[in-house]
Amino acid sequence: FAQSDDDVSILTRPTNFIEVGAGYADQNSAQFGQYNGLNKSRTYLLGNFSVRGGDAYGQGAGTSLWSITGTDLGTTSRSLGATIRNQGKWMFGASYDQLHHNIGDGDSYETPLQGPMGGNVFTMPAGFGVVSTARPTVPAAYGTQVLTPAQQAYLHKVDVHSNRDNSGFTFGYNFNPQWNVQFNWNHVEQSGAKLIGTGTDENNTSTAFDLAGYGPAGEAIQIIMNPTDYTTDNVDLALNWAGAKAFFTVGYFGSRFRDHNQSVSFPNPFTTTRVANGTTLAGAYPVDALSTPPDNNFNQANLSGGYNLTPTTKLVGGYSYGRNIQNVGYVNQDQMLPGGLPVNSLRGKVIITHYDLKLTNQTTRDLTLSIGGNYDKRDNKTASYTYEFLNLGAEEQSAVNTPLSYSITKGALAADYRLSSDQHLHAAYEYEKTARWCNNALANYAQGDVQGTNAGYYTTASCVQVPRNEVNKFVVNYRLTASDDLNFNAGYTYADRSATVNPSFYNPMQMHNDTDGFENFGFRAYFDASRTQHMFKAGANWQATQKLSFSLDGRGTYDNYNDSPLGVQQGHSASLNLDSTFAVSGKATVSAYASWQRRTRGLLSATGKNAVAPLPNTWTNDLTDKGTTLGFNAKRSGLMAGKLQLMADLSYSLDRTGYSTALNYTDASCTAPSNAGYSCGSLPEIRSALARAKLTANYVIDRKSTIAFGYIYEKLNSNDYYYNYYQLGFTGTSTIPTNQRSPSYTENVLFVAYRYSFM
Amino acid sequence: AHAADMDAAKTLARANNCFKCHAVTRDKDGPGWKKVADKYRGKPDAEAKLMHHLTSGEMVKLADGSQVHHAIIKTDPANNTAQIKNLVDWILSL
Amino acid sequence: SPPIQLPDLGTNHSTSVQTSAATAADALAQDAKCTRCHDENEQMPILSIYQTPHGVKGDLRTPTCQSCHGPSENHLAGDKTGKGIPPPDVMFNKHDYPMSDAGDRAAVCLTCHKGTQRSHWDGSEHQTNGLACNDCHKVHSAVDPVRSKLTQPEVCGTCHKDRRADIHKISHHPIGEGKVTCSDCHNPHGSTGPHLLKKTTVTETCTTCHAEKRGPFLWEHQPVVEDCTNCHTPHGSNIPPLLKSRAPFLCDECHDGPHNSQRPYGAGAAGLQSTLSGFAVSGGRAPNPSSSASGRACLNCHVMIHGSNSPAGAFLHR
Ligand code: HEC
Ligand code: HEC
Ligand code: HEC
Ligand code: HEC
Ligand code: HEC
Ligand code: HEC
Ligand code: HEC
Ligand code: HEC
Ligand code: HEC
Ligand code: HEC
Ligand code: HEC
Repeated sequence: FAQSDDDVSILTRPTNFIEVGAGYADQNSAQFGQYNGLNKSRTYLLGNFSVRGGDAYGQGAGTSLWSITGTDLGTTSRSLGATIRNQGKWMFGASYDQLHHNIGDGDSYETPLQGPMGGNVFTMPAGFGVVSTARPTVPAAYGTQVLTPAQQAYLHKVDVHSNRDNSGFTFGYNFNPQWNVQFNWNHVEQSGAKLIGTGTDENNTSTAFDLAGYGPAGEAIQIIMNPTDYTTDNVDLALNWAGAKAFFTVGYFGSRFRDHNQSVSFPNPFTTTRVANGTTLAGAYPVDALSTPPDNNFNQANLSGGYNLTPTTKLVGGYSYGRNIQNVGYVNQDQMLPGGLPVNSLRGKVIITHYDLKLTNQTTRDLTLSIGGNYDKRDNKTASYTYEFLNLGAEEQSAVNTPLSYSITKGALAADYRLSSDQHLHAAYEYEKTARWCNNALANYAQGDVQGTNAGYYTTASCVQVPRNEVNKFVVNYRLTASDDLNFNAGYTYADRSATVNPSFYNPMQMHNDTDGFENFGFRAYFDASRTQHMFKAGANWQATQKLSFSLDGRGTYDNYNDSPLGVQQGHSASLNLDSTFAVSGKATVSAYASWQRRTRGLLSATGKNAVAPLPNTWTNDLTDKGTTLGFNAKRSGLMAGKLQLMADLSYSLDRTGYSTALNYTDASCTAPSNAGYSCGSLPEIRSALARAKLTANYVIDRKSTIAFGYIYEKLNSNDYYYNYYQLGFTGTSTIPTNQRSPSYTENVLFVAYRYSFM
Repeated sequence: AHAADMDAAKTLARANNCFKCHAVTRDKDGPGWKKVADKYRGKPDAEAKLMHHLTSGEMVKLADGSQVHHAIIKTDPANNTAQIKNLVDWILSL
Repeated sequence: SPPIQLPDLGTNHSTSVQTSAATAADALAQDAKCTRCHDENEQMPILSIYQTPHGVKGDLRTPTCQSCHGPSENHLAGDKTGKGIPPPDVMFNKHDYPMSDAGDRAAVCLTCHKGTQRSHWDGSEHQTNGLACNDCHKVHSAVDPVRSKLTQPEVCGTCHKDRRADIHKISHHPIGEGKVTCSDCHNPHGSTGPHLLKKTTVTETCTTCHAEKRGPFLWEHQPVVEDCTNCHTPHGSNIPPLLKSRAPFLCDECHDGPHNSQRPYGAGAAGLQSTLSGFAVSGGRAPNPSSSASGRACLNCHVMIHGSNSPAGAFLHR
């Protein structure tokens, strides 16, 4: 048995360990290995360690502490960290973390394009030829992308992934117990790529196609690997002071983003030459390009503090001022810019300010009051110009950029009242106002008088549809401790958001085409439309016996967009959770939970174009999203004379998302031959079912040595129609297939590790 | 004597707050149990004596000199002598 | 109860020269008032506090047992009445004695930990819902589970069960994998942002990690500028990547004007392979899967959905 002095030192000194082992994954799966680094079928090295020391441990008289730790060293999900401190004086820390993100369907992406993943130049293989965009004339063959066998031979698989290498450095210094300074620096290097769509100039649409009810502009689509070759540096610096009655912090936050590419270029395999509006795109395959995210800097000064006016009345407040700058030279794609460039870079400048103030008071134990306010402003000082360019359809366009500014003002009043020692009531009223605007006349009035062409839209179009939102919100929560073993809570929130709609809204950024550029009258984007919202919640915890406990909670929300003749009409969500834990004995516990979630959204929209058109035909679309999650855990220790411990972790989740569309047309139905089955009806559910089991056994050989072994089973059944479209032979006529598939997998992982522990 | 179940003994002692006054090696308000074991080593009536001590509430003197009744041990289920015996055996085995 | 004795932060200790050894000796002597009885044999491993920063006795800012549990004179006096030992002043859990009020429990910690991250504790969602610090923090254990990336989601998940369910979904942040954790986005102690977010707005919070989406871009997309959660759900979704809805329907929620967004799309958006009944037309094939409706749908062309900096990108195409 353990000596008692030993018992003290086991408690007061750190237990260090080094763990090495091996794990084997039996399948290749990018989805299973999405973030854990186990994406390939092979044996992995397992390595973890944690070593701590210093003279402060074990009730020591010193103040030094240090630690070094490493986790998952054998996979691309590894991390390392070290800290050393002289507590009360200074501390240093350094860390490194790697994350290899396998793009969900990465191991099934195929492309004929040449160029490395992570690179920014893609070319067509020589001899690939031109992809036929001829539209089939018989409905039976609509939408089949037939690459010739020669072209199919150029398709090759690429393992798409993106990496984040995150290095961190921290430093802290205490001048004295009141003053200290904290510094934190994070350096993230990203590499690799993510998939992105691309459209290229190819406006070769056909009548048969249009008649079938589609109106794509006929652009040629490829899915390419968009490089994520970025560096981000985030720096936090704070000087803190805390005294008996007050505290404050003066801080700086800086974030610097650098993209090592300015654009990514790719060929258009649907044509060899392209003549559009007099401009020729040169080359065997005309080259188009996507811009990549521009470098930007964000610098922010922060001030925050608090003061106890009396022992029961406290005031806290803060202010911050930030500048977000972006001024990268534009990618100058002459052939896309018949009018040339008005300026060579954006000179983008956004000023972000924030204020807050809050007063809390607790004069009696039974009543706590608080009153506070926040003000946030994003002031976009960027200038506007008119840009002339050719759009994807090679049509000449001119558009004005509309740098958006907005501010949010919030006020809140809250009271907590203790009805009795076991009952609490919380009530609050909150007010919020959002204002949106553009800072320059060009952005606001660029379109001039469009009334001539669009009756109903008038001259002074502003840059936003909803220049003002106001929200009034009421909250009541009630808590009851019914007995030592039973407590209960319930709450209700009502929020009413009203929108001031600019009826003349016409987004000057959109095209100058009098039939295309408008939302229908009465159509409201849901995020700023008027809305009423009800939220109910309730929960209970019950300790049935010393060993058995239950908890049950649920909530529901009801959103109504009463003032939106068109657009999202209502939303609804509900959830229910049940948990239970049972301590079978001091050595065995089991717990289980079930969660159930449901969400719906109803949309009413219309075909037809703008104000001039007669009242358009309407259609509805309903979203239903359902999720069920079940979990079960069991733990048994004290087997084989206390040497063996067993753990089981099981979970199952099933998520289903469905859409259904109905036409309110008088003259058309889903079954009419010309547009059978596509314009309405239900889509197949997007369904994912994930089952997981993890079984672990720990066998303690002696105080220094432990062996852990385990087995992980995971099965994902994913059924997502998304992938149908990209299959060879099933894509739209001008889309290059990628053969991506739903990321289902069945994975078995076995592992064994030896842990050496020492003090 | 059979080998005592240390875990069960400690659990019972914890539940009765014995450790508030006793440690294994160290003296607290009460004597360290190793010391108790030494005192009774080789004495055949040791077990009976301690069983009595734990169930009768004899007067004991604390470090500050005050006299109190010694704690009477409680078991679950009540008066389970086997549990007490196990604790006593463990103390004596120290 | 008598006032809690705490080190006086108002005095400048740097002038009172005391070696860390002397500080430690004093502090351990204070602790011994309690560790005399509460030691290594306690049910809960309370002495493990000496492995944590609170147990660094040479640092004169650290607490003694009585800083947190109160002077507890009555408890120290012992069982004077024969009715059992009276409780210590502050009880963090309910075992032998009733638990202290949440406000009293938090007040103890806040004497030392006011300011910085905890400036907005008062009036925060957690405070007003009756939580105290020790509902999340375990101060006596060597490792506090809520402060370790891998175990923190479990702690939060004991109350936030919807979020626990969310991170099982097919598209999620690497939370279960220990790479991102709740406190990367939230400050559970209270904040000036919505939903206890660390920064004052959602967008500012997200762009700490996704700085490439910060811009400002030449062509901004209004919902992106205002709030990433217009389209994304941060905790987990059945629709990758973390989307609330799938295009084209996602886009339809805000657009009905221009070309494709005004068109209804039904079963046909599922593409040719879909085997829905009543779907096939003559020749056994469904109509053309429109690039506006299928796969990435609108995002087949409008790819720069977070904003574009290309002078030819006004429609978020390039
Ligand atoms: C209030 C303090 C206190 C508590 C609580 C307490 N004891 Fe004691 N115990 C004492 C003291 C003081 C003595 C010394 C008696 C003496 O030597 O006169 C003692 C003596 C003993 C002895 C040695 C008796 C002997 O004959 O030498 C044993 C064995 C013992 N205790 C076991 C226990 C157990 C088991 C419990 C829990 C049920 C317990 N004690 C709880 C204070 C306590
Ligand atoms: C004389 C021995 C003794 C001293 C000294 C002592 N305690 Fe206790 N303490 C006890 C006993 C015995 C109990 C259990 C009382 C009961 O169950 O009725 C207890 C219970 C407690 C509990 C509740 C434990 C639980 O699981 O619910 C806390 C907390 C506590 N003490 C803290 C302290 C602190 C802090 C000090 C120092 C200020 C201290 N004690 C000093 C003997 C002591
Ligand atoms: C930093 C504040 C702090 C300090 C210092 C502290 N405690 Fe605690 N103590 C707590 C909290 C909080 C709990 C609740 C359990 C937890 O968080 O680990 C607790 C729990 C306990 C318990 C178990 C009873 C319960 O409520 O669960 C005992 C006994 C105890 N402490 C004794 C001590 C002793 C003895 C010391 C000195 C060595 C001490 N504490 C130092 C904060 C503190
Ligand atoms: C008398 C002062 C004092 C009290 C009371 C106190 N703390 Fe602390 N706490 C400290 C000091 C000093 C540190 C170490 C700060 C540093 O890292 O230099 C600390 C550190 C911490 C840390 C960080 C530990 C780590 O691993 O870095 C946490 C978490 C914490 N305290 C929580 C609490 C909670 C919860 C309570 C109340 C139950 C509490 N503290 C009460 C002084 C106190
Ligand atoms: C809802 C859970 C929760 C509650 C309640 C909570 N904390 Fe924390 N606390 C955390 C988490 C999570 C972290 C880690 C934060 C991080 O890493 O940025 C943390 C970190 C800390 C730290 C160390 C980091 C620092 O800022 O120095 C201290 C000290 C601390 N908490 C004190 C408190 C105090 C005091 C209270 C009560 C007023 C409290 N906590 C209440 C979850 C909580
Ligand atoms: C990537 C950033 C991020 C991470 C990581 C994150 N959250 Fe959130 N969380 C948000 C944002 C943004 C919101 C507000 C929007 C919303 O409600 O979805 C939010 C809202 C919430 C809410 C309030 C919404 C509600 O209705 O319940 C809770 C509770 C919450 N998060 C808990 C958690 C927990 C627990 C974790 C860890 C498992 C976590 N969050 C991790 C960003 C994040
Ligand atoms: C002991 C229970 C408990 C724990 C543990 C807990 N919370 Fe909470 N949390 C609540 C309650 C109660 C609310 C009030 C609102 C509600 O009912 O969702 C809340 C609210 C929130 C909200 C704000 C919701 C909103 O709509 O604004 C966020 C965000 C949140 N918690 C995050 C966290 C995080 C992160 C952690 C872990 C570090 C955590 N919580 C741990 C109980 C808890
Ligand atoms: C603490 C850092 C961090 C913060 C803050 C953060 N993210 Fe992430 N996010 C990540 C990491 C790490 C990944 C996975 C690696 C990658 O894709 O680069 C990721 C991935 C994503 C993805 C892609 C997921 C997929 O399935 O491919 C989306 C979408 C996303 N984040 C949105 C958000 C939103 C919205 C917010 C704010 C509410 C946010 N993130 C805040 C770190 C963060
Ligand atoms: C208008 C809807 C919308 C808004 C608002 C939005 N996103 Fe997205 N986001 C998307 C869509 C759609 C995708 C998928 C893109 C694709 O498949 O090409 C996506 C993909 C992502 C990804 C994964 C791919 C990548 O680029 O790494 C991240 C990360 C992401 N968004 C972060 C954010 C952040 C951060 C914000 C807020 C600044 C934000 N999103 C706002 C619609 C939106
Ligand atoms: C939450 C609302 C919302 C969602 C969802 C949304 N948008 Fe937008 N979008 C807007 C608003 C507001 C504008 C600016 C005014 C307008 O055109 O109505 C805009 C503008 C645009 C523009 C015009 C160019 C520009 O920069 O203004 C395009 C193209 C566009 N959105 C495409 C999309 C696509 C594709 C999707 C789906 C991935 C989408 N939007 C989802 C709200 C939304
Ligand atoms: C095949 C390529 C392609 C697809 C797919 C596509 N668009 Fe477009 N989109 C364009 C082009 C080209 C323009 C500019 C000229 C035009 O309207 O034809 C445009 C313009 C827009 C505009 C703003 C300009 C205006 O007309 O005012 C919006 C908003 C928009 N599309 C939304 C959508 C939505 C929503 C979807 C999906 C239902 C979608 N687009 C699918 C190519 C496409």
